Amino acid sequence: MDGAGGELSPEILDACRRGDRDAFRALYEAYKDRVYSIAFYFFQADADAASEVTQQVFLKLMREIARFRGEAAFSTWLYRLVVNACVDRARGRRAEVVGEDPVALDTIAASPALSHEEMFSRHEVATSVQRAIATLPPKLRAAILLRYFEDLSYSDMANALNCSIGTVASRLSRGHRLLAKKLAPIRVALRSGE
Amino acid sequence: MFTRHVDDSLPRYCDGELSAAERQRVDAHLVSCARCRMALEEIQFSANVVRQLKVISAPPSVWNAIVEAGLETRLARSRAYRLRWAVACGVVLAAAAGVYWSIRDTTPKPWAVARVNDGGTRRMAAGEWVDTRGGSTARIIVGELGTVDVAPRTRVRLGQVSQSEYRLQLDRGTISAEINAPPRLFIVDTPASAVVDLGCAYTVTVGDDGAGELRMTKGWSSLEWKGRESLVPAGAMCRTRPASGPGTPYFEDASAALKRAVDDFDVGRDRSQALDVIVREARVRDTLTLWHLLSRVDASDRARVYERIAEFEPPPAGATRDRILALDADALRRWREELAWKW
Amino acid sequence: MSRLIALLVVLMLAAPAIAGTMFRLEIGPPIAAGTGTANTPQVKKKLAFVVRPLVCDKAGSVQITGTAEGLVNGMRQSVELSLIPVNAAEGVYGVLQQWPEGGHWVVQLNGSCPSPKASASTLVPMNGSTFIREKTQVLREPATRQQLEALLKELS
Repeated sequence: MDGAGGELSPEILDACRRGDRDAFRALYEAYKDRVYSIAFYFFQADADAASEVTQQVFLKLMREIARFRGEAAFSTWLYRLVVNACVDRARGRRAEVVGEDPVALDTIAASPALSHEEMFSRHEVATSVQRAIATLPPKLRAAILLRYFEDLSYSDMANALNCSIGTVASRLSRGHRLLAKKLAPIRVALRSGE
Repeated sequence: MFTRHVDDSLPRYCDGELSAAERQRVDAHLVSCARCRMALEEIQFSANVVRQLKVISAPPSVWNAIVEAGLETRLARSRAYRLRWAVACGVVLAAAAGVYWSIRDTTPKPWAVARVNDGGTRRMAAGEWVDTRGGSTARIIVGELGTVDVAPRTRVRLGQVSQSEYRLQLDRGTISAEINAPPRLFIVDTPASAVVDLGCAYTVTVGDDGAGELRMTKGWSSLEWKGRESLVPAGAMCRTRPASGPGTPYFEDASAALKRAVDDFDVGRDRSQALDVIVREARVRDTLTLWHLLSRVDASDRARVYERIAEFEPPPAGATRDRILALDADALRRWREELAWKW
Repeated sequence: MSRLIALLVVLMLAAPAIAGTMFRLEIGPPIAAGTGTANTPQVKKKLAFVVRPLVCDKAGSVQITGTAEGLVNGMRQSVELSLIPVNAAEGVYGVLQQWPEGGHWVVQLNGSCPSPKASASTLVPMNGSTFIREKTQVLREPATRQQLEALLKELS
């Protein structure tokens, strides 16, 4: 009896609640990459932070799974755990991000017109994008990642971020504008390539 | 006259999440507002940029850390609130295997199988089949030991699980396994051989005729059948045939001529000529193939194979020519261990 | 006759120096460390490759250390490795993948033989946890920074 639309089957959830280690492992396997990736990009490609957050999330999940009554989709609940873990950790960190390297972005702006693919396959671009995302205020960062990296719907996001759809839209809007400003040189280079 | 800007509606506008009326309002506003048009462009750009991010695989160390951080205690606390009954199948599993029986029904279901395409997961019992029809794929989670990915159009039967063994039976199709286990704990039965896991990652394919092939990606495996054994290290592959069991292994980057010749040799087609080709085409790495051939060629051809291997790497002390030609097991093993440094 | 003796003396004195330049670290796939169950089988499953010293009087006395040197998104990273003794008596050690996925990595192994006195390095380019044999450099002296950086550059 498989769940529909990417959700875990109730069997697995029940087994997890009963402390079934195999079921927990199955659940872990199904979601680990998503959780890890969100944390990874949240903390500017920091593998250690991503590992710690992933570990924290799944341990917490195991503790709290008895309380999950299934009123919302399991994944929404999981995303809420991930976002909370990331935002909490971000609050605790003193030095957030490695400083901007203006040289890298300038060379991109100055280089001859690049195609979309060429652009995004370059290391400097990937690094710049990761940096830019990581400089966003944590709540905006979470919204951007959940919407465009995870493809969550607005109502799922509202549930995961524990706010209204209007707030979600407003955070996205602000996040986008900040991102676009930081990545201006890339935008320019892309435009000239069209 | 002040018009309210539409910033906050733009993300949903881009994603097509506005009602028809709201959409019309935004459209109308954009016509005359350069600021919001700019904002729209910024949103489209950054949405695109974030969409390019790739999913990163969580490294295995994360799971280990979870286990170390006291997974057991947390699970035990969950379990403490429920009764746990050992199912009457008489099997007690070692802590390393770590499988706990479900109390919901009496059939033990030690296998966890995930359908990769739609994300659902279910528990299955020994004797059940995993059948991936029509392009679906599945992932079998083997207790604590690792995972087995099942390709489309494959039939795999889940076997018995005991303290000393996890078994799968591959009837047809392809599976890829990544297993971290003490040797001989995980075994895949195919119509023409048993793949005994010696700790590794590999792909096994079985055709409709029962013939198969094993490709090693990490570690090494042993193919065994009625006393015949082929050792297959990472980067190498080995065919299996219903009548004769495991063939002679060769590295995947060996020359096409060598590979064809090995296949010919194994099925008994023009053996002498095939051997000529193998001896001629062999590189230092192909001593893997040559070493296996020592015990498979006729006595009259053995010296030739010996000489060729010795050109690459003479046998070590204690493994004399005479003992090798006599197929002394100890001498053969010593030589293989030296040769392996070149594989 | 004295000429002959002189020649022999020169050769004997030169021998340690000559043997020293033959000292090197050879690498091989995990199966090279043997398939017997005596050798910590759990560990062998996860090994990326194994290393052993060649041309040293007492193989068991060779000290081998290793670091994983990487280029990840344009930034240099360095991870100190803890080598696993697979057969300490023969100086055979195993390398586990202790560096992250992604990016380009070269494992630098450094070894020193006490008798005859010699040092050598081997640079092993990696593709995940698979070593790239064709690009591996088995050197008979310690590797220089330039050699390492050049190899990293070649990979990326």
